[in-house]
Amino acid sequence: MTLLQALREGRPSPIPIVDAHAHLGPWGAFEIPERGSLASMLAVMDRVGVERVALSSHLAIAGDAREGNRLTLAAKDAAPARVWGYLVVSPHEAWDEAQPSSCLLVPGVVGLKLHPETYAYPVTGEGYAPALAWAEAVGLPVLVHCQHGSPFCSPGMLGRVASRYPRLPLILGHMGVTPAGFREAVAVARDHPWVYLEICGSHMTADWLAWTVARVGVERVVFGSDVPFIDLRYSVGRVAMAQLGEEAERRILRDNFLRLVGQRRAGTV
Amino acid sequence: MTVVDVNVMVGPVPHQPVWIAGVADLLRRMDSAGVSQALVYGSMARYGDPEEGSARLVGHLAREETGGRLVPTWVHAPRRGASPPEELWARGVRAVRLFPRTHGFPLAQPRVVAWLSRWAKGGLPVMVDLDEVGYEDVRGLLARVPEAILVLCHVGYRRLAEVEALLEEFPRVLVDTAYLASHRGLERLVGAFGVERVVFGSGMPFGDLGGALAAVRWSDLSPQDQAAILGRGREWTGAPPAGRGEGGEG
Repeated sequence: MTLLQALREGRPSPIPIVDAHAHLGPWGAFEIPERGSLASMLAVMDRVGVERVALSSHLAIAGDAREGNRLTLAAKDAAPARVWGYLVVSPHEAWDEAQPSSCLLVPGVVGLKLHPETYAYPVTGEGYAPALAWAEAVGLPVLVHCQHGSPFCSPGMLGRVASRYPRLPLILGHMGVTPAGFREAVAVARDHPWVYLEICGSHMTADWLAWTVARVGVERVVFGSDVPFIDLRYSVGRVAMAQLGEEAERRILRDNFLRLVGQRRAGTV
Repeated sequence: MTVVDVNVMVGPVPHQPVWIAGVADLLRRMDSAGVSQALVYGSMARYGDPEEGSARLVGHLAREETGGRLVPTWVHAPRRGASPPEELWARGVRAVRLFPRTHGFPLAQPRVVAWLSRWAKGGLPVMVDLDEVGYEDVRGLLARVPEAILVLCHVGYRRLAEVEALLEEFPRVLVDTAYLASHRGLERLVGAFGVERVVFGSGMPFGDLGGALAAVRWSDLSPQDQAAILGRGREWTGAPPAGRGEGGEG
């Protein structure tokens, strides 16, 4: 059974999906049904066939990295077989005070998450530099919100980060958000072999996904949904509709991100 | 399970490639997702000339002979054009679409009120993307034409509270699934307002057919409720009701 057939029949994905971009909890600017609870996320994950999400709590990207990271770790501990955690870095706090490195080496923490847009701080600024340098040194993936036209985290700015930290596994969250951003993000990925493109967001479609894969190769594309900020199902449905074939779907929906996480764990990055 | 997509646009777009390469490609996409019919409007009517673009789409679909699978939606802008329901029915049109922001007109103005009333009497639903209108604009319009069948399309995830308020106040307002993207938003709206308030639409090429289908098929709703949403568009794509015009499919 193909992914699209499973979708049409309402059956879970035949490929156990690993979601590289998720959040948790309520959000200030608009209501998220069921307060974006972990239980509500797990219910959707079960329906769709998502084995695991890697998440950072909404609170952590909304300004309170310290308390937000605690919520992330609590979710990971509550559902260790279904949840991995990203720890969010605040550029406004000293690195060794807010995010002790020891915290990042606990089981189930698979990366850093940077949200320069909500923190209103450029990803190229000094406030992020210690964390990025450390992540490159230990081979930890870093997921960064990436938005076309942003003064804080445009694809071009992420390209400069990739130049500065050439062996950093850098995941461009939303790959620029808009069609103009997609084009920029693809150019960055072509120039930097350790850059990966994550595909959640309001403008992504099956057509844009196929367009992206044709330009950067399937091994550079990572599935994410943004759940519960955005309904998880739309993102999986786009992959299904792209009809890229089972091998490509498996790489995007699962293997590429597992490889990033596994490399770091095996110390091969 | 019959699936009718009430929200599809065809034709070139200023800011992205032409993804849907003509009628044959659209039908192929519909086949792969199990969609039997679609309500379609033309990009020329959205980005160029609403009246001429709509007329060309009607003619194009008639020539393509899709066996009634593609049914035209008329894009109306209150400039010079008149779109009486009898004439639209006769041309095979089964829905009207408005783009107040793109076409630069206030929604709750007398000319729109008058047309909306006529379309409602003629059984024609009116569709509008949520990012084309403000909450108070919609309220202002529907307060004067509460009988209108208004479909809020591509509602996203940031304006759930506005959508819920409109569904609560105006019982003939519906939402489509083009990008009903609040987390478990479909379950939330169906639970609060009933399954009859949701209609399946993909929003292609800006929305995704697979995404919209996933939102329904991977939902907690019963198979009966899912079928009701997926097939609701049949109410609009079929033959005209008695006394509401002549003519078959475009």
